[in-house]
Amino acid sequence: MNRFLRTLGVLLLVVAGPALAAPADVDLVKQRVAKVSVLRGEFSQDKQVAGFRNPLRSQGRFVLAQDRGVIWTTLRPFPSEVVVTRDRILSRQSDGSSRVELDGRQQPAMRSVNAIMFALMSGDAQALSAQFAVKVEALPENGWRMQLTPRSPMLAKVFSALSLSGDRYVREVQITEANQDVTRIHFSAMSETPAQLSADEGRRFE
Amino acid sequence: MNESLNAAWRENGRLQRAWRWLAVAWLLVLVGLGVQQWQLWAKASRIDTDILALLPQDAHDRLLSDVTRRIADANARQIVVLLGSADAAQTKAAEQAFRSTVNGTSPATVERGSAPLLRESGSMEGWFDQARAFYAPYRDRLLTDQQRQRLQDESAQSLSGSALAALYGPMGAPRLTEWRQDPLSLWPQWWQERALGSGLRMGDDGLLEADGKHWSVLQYETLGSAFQLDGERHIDLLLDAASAAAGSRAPGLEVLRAGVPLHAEAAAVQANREINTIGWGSLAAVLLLVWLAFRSLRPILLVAASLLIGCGVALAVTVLVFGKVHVLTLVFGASLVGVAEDYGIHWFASRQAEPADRRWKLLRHLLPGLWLALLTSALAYLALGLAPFPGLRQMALFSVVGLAAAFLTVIFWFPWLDGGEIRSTRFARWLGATLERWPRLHGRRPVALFLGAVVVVSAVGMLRLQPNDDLRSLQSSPMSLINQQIRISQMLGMPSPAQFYLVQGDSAEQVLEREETLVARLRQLSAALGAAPARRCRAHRAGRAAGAGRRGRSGGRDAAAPRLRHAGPAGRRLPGFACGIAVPPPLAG
Repeated sequence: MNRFLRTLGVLLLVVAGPALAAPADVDLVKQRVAKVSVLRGEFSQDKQVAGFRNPLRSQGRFVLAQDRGVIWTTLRPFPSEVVVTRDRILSRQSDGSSRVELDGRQQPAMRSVNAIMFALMSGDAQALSAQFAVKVEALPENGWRMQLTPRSPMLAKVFSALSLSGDRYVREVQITEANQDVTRIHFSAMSETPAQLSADEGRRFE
Repeated sequence: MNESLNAAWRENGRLQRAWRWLAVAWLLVLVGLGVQQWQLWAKASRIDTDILALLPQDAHDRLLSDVTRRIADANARQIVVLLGSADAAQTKAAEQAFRSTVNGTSPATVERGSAPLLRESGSMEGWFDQARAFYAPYRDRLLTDQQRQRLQDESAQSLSGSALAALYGPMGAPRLTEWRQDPLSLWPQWWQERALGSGLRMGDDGLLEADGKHWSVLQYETLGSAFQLDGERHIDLLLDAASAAAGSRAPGLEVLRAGVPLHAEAAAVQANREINTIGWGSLAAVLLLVWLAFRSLRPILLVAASLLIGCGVALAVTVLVFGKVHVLTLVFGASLVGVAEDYGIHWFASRQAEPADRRWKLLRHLLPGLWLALLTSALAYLALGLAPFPGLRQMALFSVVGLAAAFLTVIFWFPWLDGGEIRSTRFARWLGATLERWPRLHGRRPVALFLGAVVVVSAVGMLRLQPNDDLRSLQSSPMSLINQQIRISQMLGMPSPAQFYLVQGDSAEQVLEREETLVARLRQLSAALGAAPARRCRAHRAGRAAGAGRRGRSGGRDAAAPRLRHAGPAGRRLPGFACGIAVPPPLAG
């Protein structure tokens, strides 16, 4: 489950991280983070994986649509795409072939994972404060930092800690897995326009 | 005249001397048996409620009965409880209440101070780790049909592309090993297919979703030392209490239970009731008759003693020979009371209105007839033992020994203990007189007519005879238990535990090939019947012998998981290679 839950973690953080916090803390982050219906941007990722001496670096673009999900497009070093929607996780290869990695319609566990994610997008913090213990820190210039520790033993088997920071947007995510693999994701070039998905983007969510 | 009387006295004296020693010897045998049994039963209950114990051992296939036995053993201690309510949070609360009652941590159970009956076995969180560990050594051989297809069709470049994408991407399929060991994520996908194949819908809160409710699945194992089949509802009452505690936390909570121990306990309770009704009922009837006929306490006590000794010795010897005694043997044995009273009653009927000093002569007189009676009854019961059913053999032994012990008690002890006069009572005279009024057949014609009528009636009856060899009809579990079991099986996607195919081959490879052919055929059939697909097991190519049994494909978080453990390589091994496939009832039935 590692990868999948990490995926979830990333999404949560990217998309709706601020909403994870307990109500008192959530307010601070909520106030500072923009609520955007469609957010686009670039990411660069640094992964320290057991068995590899050097960090694995990748770069790409992402599209986050509040009502649809996330398209995560890796451009370098290996082009590929992952689309996360309410029901499933789909991966596409550079040769155009695609594969459903997880189908939430068949497994309610996956579906409710997505449900939590979407609840978070809409600012419903209740669901996740049950899963994570949250510590919020206010930074100057409207910045913030959050530390998340899993509450349930099941989640703790996957993550040992998550942290994210940002201002109007989530800028930096760090995921420490239980096996001590560390992933750092840096977001940049965020843009809120156009506020609608393009035809191409819409198709990729299908 | 004088000489012959003296000779008779002398002879009687010899008989008395010999008889004294025999009576003492019989007492010693009884005391010895009693002490031995006391020690035996103090250690553990010897009562067997397993219906499979009645099955013929070698009648069919040795291997098959071994597998059946093993499945039964693996499940013999398991109890599954499902708590369901429409609200997930309430289900969780109910689960907690249920658990604390069963574990004895709730105030009510702590007060009672009894030893824990059940131990929680294999939590829902823990079972996946167990199952994964079990399959881990064979990971590289476990492929879904889809994966096999993909590995054959797709180019190496495309495969490596997706492997690298999975490595670099932050999102992808779940991973169970390091990337280097399984870059294509075949192993987690295989598990996913298991999960889907089980038809289980599991929420991320660990609750099962079925019938519009959230179900908590709890699994328990009976603890050997505390689990008794003494005819009391130990487990049932404990689960009732736990269900009540759980119900108070979640209104409208539905509780389902299943497991062999529940059936065993229900059977023991039922058997206990039947033994009491039949055994004590017929004992009371016999004693009433004795009292009416002889109007004296001595015959009642002595006849009762012969019956109790008969049943006691029968039980002791059955346990000595078989190691255990089946509840059905006891139920059947209880009817023995009605047969074994013959000897005692015969004695007192002959003693009636006879002086006490003539009783040795009487004994001599009675012995041949009593012996004959015993022999004929014993032969009839022994014929039961000719069938290859261990259950019937037990019943045969129980009956023969019981009759013999009652007989020996009568002939060895009654002459010593029955020294007084036996009055002739009005009831006895009346009963004797009725014999006169009993209709008799005189002449050839009436006899021939009577025989003819008997033959005709019997022939009609014989023609209507329909043999029923369904063993299940011997053991009737309460309907509610069976219904709950069926619902749980449906919900957890568990096939009937006793229906499976056993695939054999000379090598593991051959077993796998044959199994694949069979499963392909079953798939067609189940598609045609609209039945659930058969669960397959995977034989181990690596192992020297494949464990049989339902090492099912039940990859979902179902309660079948602990079976993975039981059927694992650590278990007993079968000769050669074999693999069990559990079959859903529509196909096997």
